[in-house]
Amino acid sequence: MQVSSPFNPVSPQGLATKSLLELVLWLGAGVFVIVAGLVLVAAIRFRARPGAPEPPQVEGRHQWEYVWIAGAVAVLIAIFIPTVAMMRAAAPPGGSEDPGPDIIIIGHQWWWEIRYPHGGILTANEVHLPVGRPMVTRLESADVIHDFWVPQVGRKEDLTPGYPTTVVLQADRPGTYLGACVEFCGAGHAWMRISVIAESSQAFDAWLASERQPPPPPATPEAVAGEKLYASLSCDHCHASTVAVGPDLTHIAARQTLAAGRIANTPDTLGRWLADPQALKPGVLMPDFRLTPDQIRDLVAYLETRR
Amino acid sequence: MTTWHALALTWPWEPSTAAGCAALAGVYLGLAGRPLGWRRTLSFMAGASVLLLALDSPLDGLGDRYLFSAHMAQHMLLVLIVPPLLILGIRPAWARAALAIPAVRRIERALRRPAPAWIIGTGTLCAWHVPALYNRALASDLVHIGQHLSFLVASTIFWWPVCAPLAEARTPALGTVLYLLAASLASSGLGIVLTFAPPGLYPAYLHPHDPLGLLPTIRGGWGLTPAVDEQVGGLLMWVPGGLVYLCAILATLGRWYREGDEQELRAGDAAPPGREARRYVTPMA
Amino acid sequence: MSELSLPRDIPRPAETRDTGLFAWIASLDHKQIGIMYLIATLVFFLAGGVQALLMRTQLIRPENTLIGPGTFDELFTMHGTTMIFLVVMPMLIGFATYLVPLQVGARDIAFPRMNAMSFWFLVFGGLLLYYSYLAGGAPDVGWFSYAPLSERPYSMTTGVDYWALGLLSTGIGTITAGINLMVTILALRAPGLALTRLPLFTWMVLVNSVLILLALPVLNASLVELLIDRLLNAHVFAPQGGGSAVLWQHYFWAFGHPEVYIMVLPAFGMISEIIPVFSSKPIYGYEFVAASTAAIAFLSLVVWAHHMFAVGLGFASDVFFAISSMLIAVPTGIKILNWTATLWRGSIRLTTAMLFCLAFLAMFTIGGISGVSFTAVPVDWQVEDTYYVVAHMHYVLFGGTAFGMFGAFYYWFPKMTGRLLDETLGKWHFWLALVGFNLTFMIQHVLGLMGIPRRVFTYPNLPYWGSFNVVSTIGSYILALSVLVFIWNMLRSLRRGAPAGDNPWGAWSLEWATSSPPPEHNFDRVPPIWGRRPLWDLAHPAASGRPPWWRELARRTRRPAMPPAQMGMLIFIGSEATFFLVLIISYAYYHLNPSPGPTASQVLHPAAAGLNTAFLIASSVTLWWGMREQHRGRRTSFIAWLGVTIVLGALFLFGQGREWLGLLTSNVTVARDLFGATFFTLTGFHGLHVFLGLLLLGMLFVLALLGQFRGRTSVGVESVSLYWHFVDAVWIVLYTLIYVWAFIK
Repeated sequence: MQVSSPFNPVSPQGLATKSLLELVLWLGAGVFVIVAGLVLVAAIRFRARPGAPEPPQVEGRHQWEYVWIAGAVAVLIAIFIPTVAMMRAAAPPGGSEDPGPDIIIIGHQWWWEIRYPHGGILTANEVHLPVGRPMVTRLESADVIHDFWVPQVGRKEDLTPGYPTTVVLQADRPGTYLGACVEFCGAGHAWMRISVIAESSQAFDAWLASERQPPPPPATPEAVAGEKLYASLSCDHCHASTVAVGPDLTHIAARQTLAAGRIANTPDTLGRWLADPQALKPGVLMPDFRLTPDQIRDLVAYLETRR
Repeated sequence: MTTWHALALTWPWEPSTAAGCAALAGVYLGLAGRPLGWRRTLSFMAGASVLLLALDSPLDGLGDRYLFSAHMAQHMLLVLIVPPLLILGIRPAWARAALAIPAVRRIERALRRPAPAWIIGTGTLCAWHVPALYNRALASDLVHIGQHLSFLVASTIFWWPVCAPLAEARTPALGTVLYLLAASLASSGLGIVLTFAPPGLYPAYLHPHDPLGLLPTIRGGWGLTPAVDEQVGGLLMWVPGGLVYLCAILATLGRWYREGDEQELRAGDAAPPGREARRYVTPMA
Repeated sequence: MSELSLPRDIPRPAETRDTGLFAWIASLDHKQIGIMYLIATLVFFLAGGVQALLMRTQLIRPENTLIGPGTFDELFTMHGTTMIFLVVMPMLIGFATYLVPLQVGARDIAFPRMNAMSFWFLVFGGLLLYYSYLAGGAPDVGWFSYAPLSERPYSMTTGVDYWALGLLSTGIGTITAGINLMVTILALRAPGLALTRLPLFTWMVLVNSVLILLALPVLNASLVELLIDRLLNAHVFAPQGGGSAVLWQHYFWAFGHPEVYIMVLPAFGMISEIIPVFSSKPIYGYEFVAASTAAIAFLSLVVWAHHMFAVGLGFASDVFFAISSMLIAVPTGIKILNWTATLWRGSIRLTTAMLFCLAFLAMFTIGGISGVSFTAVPVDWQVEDTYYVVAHMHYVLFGGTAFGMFGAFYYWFPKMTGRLLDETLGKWHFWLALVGFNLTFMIQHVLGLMGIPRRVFTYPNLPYWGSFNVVSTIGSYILALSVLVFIWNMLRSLRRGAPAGDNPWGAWSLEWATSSPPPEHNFDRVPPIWGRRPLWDLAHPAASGRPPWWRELARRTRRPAMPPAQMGMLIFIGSEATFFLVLIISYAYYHLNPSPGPTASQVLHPAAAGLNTAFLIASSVTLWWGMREQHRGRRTSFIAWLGVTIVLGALFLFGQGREWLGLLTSNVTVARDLFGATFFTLTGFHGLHVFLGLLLLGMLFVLALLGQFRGRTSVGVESVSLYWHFVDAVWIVLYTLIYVWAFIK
């Protein structure tokens, strides 16, 4: 698996940021080598020797100070110009004929609600992007401040309640890119992870289509029993799309991970999750329903049909 | 329309302003005679040029009608750049001659104390940003001219204790630093309020009358929507404005260190170093 | 070369100081209080260190379950809060409390009682903060307490309340300490010690105090508003009730960024003292080092929004703050190069103190460079809130400030105790600290760039994440070991350290001209001062080719025209003005962005408040007139006018009370809407100030009746009247802001 880092960017703004980051790090390394080198040389060369006379009491020369100031300013200008150019490039497109965002990401304690308003789609914790197409994304929060960050895709931005903002997401290579909430948001912060799944236009459209379809009705007896259990436990009390206390579960089986990127989504892990949510994700708001192994088996069978 | 085109269109080419600035420079050169002290002359000429730039350039054309931020830039030049440059150009001999006139001296004595100078300078700056007053200035040319004149006069009073040509007219160094710090906090505070105020504080800039057809360039090309424009205006006052005060503070500290703190020290009663020192130092055996 | 010593023939009074525990607790001596500061902050340092070790232990492997998120969140909140508010800042203040009066040649600090109060406020604040553990849970929302996570529905334990109260207490202590240090430096200098000749440590403490007085009140005001949100159900920072979560961030960083420099400037001062002494050369470019300090302090006040690049404030403000933040690198760079140039062609003695200062130069440079990388906004968009920031901040605060303070301990411990710290243990301490520190934090840059967020109690098992964290944890244990060596060194040297003598390092500033430890009155006689290095000048009386001041006669400092008490009051008023400024901005912000609910123009009566205003203005006039009578020597008239002033002030308070009652009965409350919240906060705090002013005036009145203030002037009366005029001036601003603004259209 490749390292999820700003040094492996898959978006144009990520690439530009990478070159800026490298420029800053190289300039910084140069400055450090000069300063540390001077200190080291001075500490060795000018060590006090017994009996040596007092060194000349030099109090400084203004010319040197101005040289340093000019040098520092030059370094800063070298950083500032690409900074501004890059910021301009990353700014969301303006214009009056705004068709609204392609994606809306809403932060919750401790999961991500993801909407595709043009297609009327609601999902959670995994952002699907068509390769190469810039997607205007609005960031909101339902409770506290969260922050959306997927290093390879590009800039991070806060999800502040009452202060919606817009960024452009784009991935030029297909793949799954990992990220996380990076603004501390409470007990579940560590496991509030997110992934961006970039896929070809066809695959993206197919995904959109399948998300639009209601899941097939349960067929196996376990699944049917699971559906009844799902209703009797009033899971939709939190998970219905209109309530959004927890993630929407209509297509849960189609997602790659559980509990906001906590763990891979398999029937086995789903069972473990239902048996004891706190064990997997301490602090999570999902209650422990003290389900029996049979109940878990039925529920898992039912949920696995929802894809 | 290109940016250059837009700037050319908004250049007022107002002959009276140019003539005024030229007259200012001419009077200076006439009075100065020979030899020209190049620092002071340069400073005064720079002041006159910035004055011309502020009043007779696209800043004026854009600021009058289209952009709060351009208007703010113009005011910043009038308040923070022009007066100190002009004052730095004044020769001590002229100041002394002017102060020989009793009336002038009385006024100068009253205004050079930090408290009134600070209140006049900062107060004028704040007062004109009250929406009611500012909007009136935008609506009427006469009020607008009054606004600019009052900025120039009040800021000249403000900068006098900082950089007057006569040492006795200046506030002591550390006091000047505090004076400037307080002023920068006040003007930054105002800048902060403007930055975060909802757009439409000065409604004239929301939907400007646009005989030149510039709006598409400004809104689309430059990205200066009314909200951004107001924000940039506030930020101009907040950040670059603050930096001007910082430069003045550093210049004051520089002068303080150069002049060796003359005002703070005076000849005392201690003995010369050699004799005194002997009582404290025992040579190493 | 001559060695310096004070002449033996000057008799020194016997030490009469009681050394029992109570003598310490009740002490008013700035040296004892300074040492108590250092001891208390060292204790807190150990507590914060243990918290750090617990966190590093939890993070040693992925998906570790040793410590759960609740405890972990408490740990990092307490670690940050402890280290910033209870260790770094007060430890620097402790050094300053001890050293500044000595360095300026004063007998004591300006206000010894207030000095003791500052220290005990710190202790009390620390205890309040830690009491939260017993009271249902420590704060667990981070040292920055971002709203709305720190607000009621998301943080239900009392942790945040104790956090806010504890910080308010330490904040008050810090402000009073700042006033004290400032007045000491401005008013109590020895003859000849012009401000342009101050030792750089003292100069930086002076600049630092200005920064404290401008920044801490901002924190206090925001804490008050947070508490009002939490305890009285207001919504100033709660978006759910119309408040702004971004406003809290602005306030917090308007304090928080200057705070960074409050925690660094005195350390700059320390190494500006130590490096020249151990290089046997004066500091290179004194003027530039000193003036760049002022530049840093100034810039730090206007750049806070670079902590908020991820908020999405917009292109324009990001650019402005990028520029101004980059500019801070210039004066900081000047300093680093001047320190390096001081080393050049010197005669360098590599004592432990000097080693820490040299390490400071290298480590702080790394911290400074990573700091510059945040000002390249897109880079900040990648690295903010990751371990890269953790690494950056520790390079500044540990590699910078803490190394500087370790150096300061080795340098000044002999002055404080009369005994040298052991150099061998010191070298162990230094090398362990240097290696441990870099192992811990260098790799955290990489971790951040690989995508690990800050403030996570655990992390998934992704490539390299686990192994790099192991390195970091091992480094932290080594660092902890170095601190143990340090503590052991101090305990051991207290008893068995080599006697230091008055000036073990051949240093030049005034504290080395007295005995070690100094007598209670500091100096038997302050040596004459002709320049920036008094003791060097004394040792080289024949030095020729010195700067002009050397050839002049010794000069005397002009006494400041103002008595210290009055100067202290003026400075206090400045900090109070900053406090009110924050409350005023809150009011103005919500007046411009109104929420549903009653607004000023609907519920206020400008005429009644106008009458009230007239009372208050009249009280200022009567007080002024009364003081004039005092100057003329008419005591009875003075007392009478004082009485009239008190009555007018009381009338104002009565009028305020009536207005409040009227509003409350018509259901305009703090909890109703944001107008209510900000209005009551603003007028409430002003009312509180009027009440305090009345108490002070009442005290004057009683004292005057009892026969005090027989002279024509009195510092007490002058100071109280300054305060009263200030309170009135604030009200004029508030009246304009609240009543006039609401009704002009």
